[in-house]
Amino acid sequence: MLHFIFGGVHLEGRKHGSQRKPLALLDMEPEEVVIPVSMHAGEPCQPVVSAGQPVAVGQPVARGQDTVIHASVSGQVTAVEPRANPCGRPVLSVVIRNDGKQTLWQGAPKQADYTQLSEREILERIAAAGVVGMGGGGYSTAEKLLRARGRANTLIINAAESEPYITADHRLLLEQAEGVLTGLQILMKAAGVRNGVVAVEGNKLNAVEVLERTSKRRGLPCRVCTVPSRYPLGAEKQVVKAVTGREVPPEGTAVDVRCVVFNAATAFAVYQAVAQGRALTHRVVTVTGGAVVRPRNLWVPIGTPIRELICAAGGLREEPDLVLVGGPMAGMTQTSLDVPVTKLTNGVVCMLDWEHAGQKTESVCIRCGRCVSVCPMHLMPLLVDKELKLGGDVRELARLNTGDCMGCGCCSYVCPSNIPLVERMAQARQIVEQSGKGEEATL
Amino acid sequence: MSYIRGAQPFSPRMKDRVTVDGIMLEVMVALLPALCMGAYLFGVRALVLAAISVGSCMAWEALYCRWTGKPSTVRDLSACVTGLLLAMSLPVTAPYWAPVLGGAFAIIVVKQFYGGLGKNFMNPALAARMLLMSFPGMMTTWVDALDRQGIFAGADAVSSATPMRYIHLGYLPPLDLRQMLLGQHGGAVGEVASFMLILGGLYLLGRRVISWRIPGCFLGSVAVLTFLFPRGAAAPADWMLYNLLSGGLLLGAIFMATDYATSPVTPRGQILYGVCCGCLTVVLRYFGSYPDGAGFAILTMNCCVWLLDRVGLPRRFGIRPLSATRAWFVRQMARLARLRPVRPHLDLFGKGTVPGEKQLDSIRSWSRGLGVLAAVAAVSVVCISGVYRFTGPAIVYRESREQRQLLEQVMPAANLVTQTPYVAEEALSILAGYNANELIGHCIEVEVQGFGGMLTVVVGVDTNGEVTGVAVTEHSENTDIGGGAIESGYLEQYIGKSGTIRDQGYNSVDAVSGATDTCRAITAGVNKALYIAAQLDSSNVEFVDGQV
Repeated sequence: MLHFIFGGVHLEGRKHGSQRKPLALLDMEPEEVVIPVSMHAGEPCQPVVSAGQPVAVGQPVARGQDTVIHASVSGQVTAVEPRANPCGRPVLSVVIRNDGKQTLWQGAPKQADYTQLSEREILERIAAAGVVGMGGGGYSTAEKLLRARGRANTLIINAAESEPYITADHRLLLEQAEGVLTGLQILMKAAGVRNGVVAVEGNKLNAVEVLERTSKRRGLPCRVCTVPSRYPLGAEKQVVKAVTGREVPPEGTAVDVRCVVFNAATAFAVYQAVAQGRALTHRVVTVTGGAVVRPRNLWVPIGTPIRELICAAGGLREEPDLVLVGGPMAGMTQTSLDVPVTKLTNGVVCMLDWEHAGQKTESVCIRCGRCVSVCPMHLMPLLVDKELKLGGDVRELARLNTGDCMGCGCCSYVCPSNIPLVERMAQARQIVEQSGKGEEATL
Repeated sequence: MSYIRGAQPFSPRMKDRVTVDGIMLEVMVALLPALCMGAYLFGVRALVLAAISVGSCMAWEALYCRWTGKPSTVRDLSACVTGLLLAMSLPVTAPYWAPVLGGAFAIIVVKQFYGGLGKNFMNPALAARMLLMSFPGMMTTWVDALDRQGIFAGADAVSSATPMRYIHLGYLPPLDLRQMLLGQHGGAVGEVASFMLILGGLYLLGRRVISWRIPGCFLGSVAVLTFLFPRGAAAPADWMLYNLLSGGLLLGAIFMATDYATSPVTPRGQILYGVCCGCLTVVLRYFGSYPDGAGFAILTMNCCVWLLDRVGLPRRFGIRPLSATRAWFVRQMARLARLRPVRPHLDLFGKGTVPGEKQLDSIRSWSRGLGVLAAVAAVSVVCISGVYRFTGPAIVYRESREQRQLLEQVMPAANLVTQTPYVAEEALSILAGYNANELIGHCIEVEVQGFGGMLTVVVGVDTNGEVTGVAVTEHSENTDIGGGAIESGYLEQYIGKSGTIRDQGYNSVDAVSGATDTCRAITAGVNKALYIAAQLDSSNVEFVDGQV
């Protein structure tokens, strides 16, 4: 049964460019990969290799208290230096020159039958493989599982993928359904949860069918839940609401309502880490957009510059107006094609001028209330905007619960007056946080 | 190479295609069918009126922006919508200066003085319509449908009763529902074509320009209230349908109440707003002096929008429903728990040097306060009784003189009037008139609905059932319009009539031109009185104070 979701917008999917393209390897291995030491939430890792050192696929190159980062190709470390990053500012990165031999690291764990492993062993393997939330959150999966143990009763695999253009999770479900479902079983075992759900948006019914068939044939118990295709159902709180009807309290996490949510790519990474003993070194990235000649879904080593991905997709038809890492709603605009694919990159979208909204002049608010009726967090962006224009009284802003905004951008999307409401919300959130009045927010 | 062309790093790169002028255009498209129907029913003058209204509103907007040096906002088409709505709520006979004046008021005073688009707190078109209602005759001359007016047709058009008038009087209009739907009756240009308005509303709903909440709750609450409390002898369902389809209700509920700037933005606020609008409309229709209350109801609720927005703040995500209420109760309980019962402390012998000194002090202070109060009360009692004493007999004298004058007008032959034991539901009072101890007739006081309010008519009926005289004792008619009917010259026509007096033809009286409605009301009163007189017989006699 589905539960009512307030708000959200129906977006034009624009997924047909890549949704029928099977997962493929890069035609040419990248000559050089750039592996940033910070691809997760939390403190950046410390590099454990130095320039000149040879590395193999799956060998740790950086360690931190949250996670581990591995080499995705074999070769030689050429530099450990700040390099361009999709987040916009240079990040310390390990640069590896690829020797093309794909030598595997000898210290990697062996293949194992996950049913024979203890929960502790599973958690250790997941942590050692450096699995983090690959939907965009970047929380360490092992840590999330530890926190969920004994507190959660429902484990949700989030395969909603409500961003337009991106089809990475869709293809993964279609081609690696068994891997994803096995990953779900492993996660359920590690979290001690007996109720497993895969949430898929209604625009991917073939994936739903494949999942149901696979789970029946392989005896992998899970429930496939088809959620409405409405952005932002991919957000954690919205998925929990749609599947279980429970609302995550403000400033809480899904565990507070006895749920734990993992992305489909994360589940697959867990499967590889536990069952196959492979570290998180590759991931699926969709390369698409009107400027790309042959949109594709690629299985790429982490650290590959997006230039290589675009080359593998046939290059650019004409000069794009925007290059985004991530989807068009929440993705980041890039200034350079040298930024690498990280663990969180699910797509590279090269948009032509007619595809994106462009810069429109802001006009006055006509109080149409569209932003209120689409806000999935029950906020009132127009009142926040008005308050900021009046000078930004902190108490008033706190009363409007600006801290709950997750920046999905639905309000900006629908605003007929082109008011950049997401930015206003972020500004208001900052004002409230700085003054420390957030706790005065009303119920 | 740079791929940023001025785009902000976090805003979504996709955008809904809806724009402000697009929304306004949709509203205009939705209004067009009703306007076309109005033009078909009332003639080409309706279109000219609309064109003038739209043109003047846009001109006022452009001029205001020019004068104040603001960037021109004509392009957002909101003035266009205001002009169209204003034209559609005018009667077709309105003079051409009316929309120009109304447009100036709507655009400059109501909209721009408050900050322009999105900041006005009243619907500009509706406010302008209410301003124009203060011109006598303009907003009350409703020509019949299909009585098409030429471009230069003017104020000499024949007025007809709109369905709203019948409903205001408590009757169903003499039209069938199809006529109501297609608008084949008198009324404002854009209000009559209910079917077209509903069509326009469905279009706006389908295009997601408006949500169902305001029009749905508005019309729903009107429907429920009129169904539960029908007036007159109408069947509840009929009464409800005619109420929904008549007057400015549909135009108001679909196009005016949903005006973005003057309606709440929160879902709960919108529902409350709709329900309040509906309830106010019904209350104003039942008890107001103007036939239609929808416009006043919307304007009234427009002023409460800020409150409704505050009341209707959405529930915070992750907080269970009603938890705000629960938290309020918890807070109140905590507040109550802080109250500590204090043991009553009796101190009969105060701390003063003399026993009882404290009590003396308090008695003194109390008596001082009470004394002032008593003095004020005494003075006012003296004043009131004095005024009554000196003016009381005068009032009584004036009353008796007035009564004698009334008797002279109503039943000149009588020299004595007494109370009768007769009781009739419809009559306010029934008096028996005697001449030398011989019963010659009855004076029956009835109340009828006039043009501007209730009319009290006293009719003398002799024992043969003929009218001996008619007097109007109380009325709230406009003396410019209905005054001619209240003068004795007209009323004398009734003398000697009996049976049922008609409006036209056999057994009728000649109506005073310009006061047709008042004349009809008086005739209705006389007929009522004649009917009551005919029903007076011993079977209706009840014992009052032990006498027959």
